[in-house]
Amino acid sequence: MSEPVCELREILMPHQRGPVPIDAWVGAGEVLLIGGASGAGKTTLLKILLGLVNPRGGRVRLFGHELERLSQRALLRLRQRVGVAFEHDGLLPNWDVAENLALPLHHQRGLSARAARQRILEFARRCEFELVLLVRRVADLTGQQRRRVAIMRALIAEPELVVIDDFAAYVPADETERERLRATLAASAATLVCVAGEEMAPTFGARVRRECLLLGPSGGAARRGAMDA
Amino acid sequence: MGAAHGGCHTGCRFPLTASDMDRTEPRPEFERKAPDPRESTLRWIEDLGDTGITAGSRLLDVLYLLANSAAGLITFQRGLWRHLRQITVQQIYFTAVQAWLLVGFVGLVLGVLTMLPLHAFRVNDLDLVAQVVTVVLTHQITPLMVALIVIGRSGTAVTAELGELQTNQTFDTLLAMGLEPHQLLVLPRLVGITLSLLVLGFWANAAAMLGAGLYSALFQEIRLHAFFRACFAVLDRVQVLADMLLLACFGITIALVHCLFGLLVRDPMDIPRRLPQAFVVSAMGCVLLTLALSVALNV
Repeated sequence: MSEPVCELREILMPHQRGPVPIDAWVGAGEVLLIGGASGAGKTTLLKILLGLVNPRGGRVRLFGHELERLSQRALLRLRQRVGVAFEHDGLLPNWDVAENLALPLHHQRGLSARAARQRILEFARRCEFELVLLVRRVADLTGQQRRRVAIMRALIAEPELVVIDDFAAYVPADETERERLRATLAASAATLVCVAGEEMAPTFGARVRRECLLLGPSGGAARRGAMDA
Repeated sequence: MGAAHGGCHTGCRFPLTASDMDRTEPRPEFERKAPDPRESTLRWIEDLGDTGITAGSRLLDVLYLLANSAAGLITFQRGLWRHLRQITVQQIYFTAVQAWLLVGFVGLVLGVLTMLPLHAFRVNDLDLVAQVVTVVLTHQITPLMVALIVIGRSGTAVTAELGELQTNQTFDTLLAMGLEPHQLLVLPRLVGITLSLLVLGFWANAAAMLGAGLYSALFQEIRLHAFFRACFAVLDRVQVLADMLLLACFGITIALVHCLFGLLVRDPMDIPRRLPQAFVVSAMGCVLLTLALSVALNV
């Protein structure tokens, strides 16, 4: 068993009514899917995992560090090892695509402008992303293109952990596009924590853990469902 | 509070659901009670307290925003300088460069408007005219007018832009990726707007003096260079520094208030509500700062 990248122990959600605390962990390179009904607290759980929201009870460990013991600055530094795509794309709409992709490269990896440009070109080619779109403002892209850029931004700096909220929204309807997304995710060695139903498991291949964390309507853990990945 | 005022449970004053609409239906005439004077007094005190608490909490928010953003200047977050420089230059371009003509024109008109009543009251003493023009224009009216132009053009744009970023979860995403969003997105606007106000303030003052000088040359037979010499004689170093301080305070106030109201946005429908609020608060802040400086310089 590998050392867990993130670990949730007896977590009680801020507005949880149910008595069942949440326990989950995910090892290096694995994929953890979090499912549950609307309003069950899936996004809140992701935010608890990243230290953006404090739980009512329990402990969160990220990369071996207990979050509640970290200072704000140390927590910020720890999060520089994470790539994120929330439900809304979280991009800067007045910046062009390349500038958005360069942001984690500058801040997380400390790359120079030239090195960042090279990395962006290489990564865009690998993801089969149209290079002409790199110089376009994000506000001028279609919703699907924006979501693609958001996933690329989460992965481009090769973070150790990637967190994706509402993964279904990021899966394109077009089969070719879906295959591209699958290939992009497969090429990343990062640990993935995704809010996604069990039906999404094939997208991640064999890396998916054989159980999926399901949240109940009251906010607690309903069950840890088994799945055939 | 919302329910007590006939609104929905979220605190807004408009009914959102059928049950909310039922609650807001006026009660039949025979059920209405005469207002209890004690209750209305208590409510007035309660409202006053609410307003005070909200204002205090907003002031703390502004101070936190200032401290957290300014911390970026000393903590040297990796890669921050590149974006700080880039966004600051963009902000100066939008706020100062694109507005120079408008601000110059307004300054010129203000100069003429200041001279009109002096001319009407037949005030022709050069020293007195120079004193009135310098004090009224450079310390009070022109900086305030420049501040209002910047609030209208750039402040509201900042609120709308940050509001959009907030609804797009950009702040959460940046924070989750270990980037301090205040230092990345608020600090450059703070620096850009403050520097722009300093530049625009001096430009508007120059235009206002020119307007006043041209008017006096055309209609009061005061020679232009004599007018400027008299005006510059009135200005001393302390007053110039006070003007710079006032303009810098305007810039900081405008940037922080508009950024804060942008950050308070929770959904896209919130943006049109926050824009006028931010306008009023920052304009009031600038008026009070002008009053404070004028009193301080004259006491």
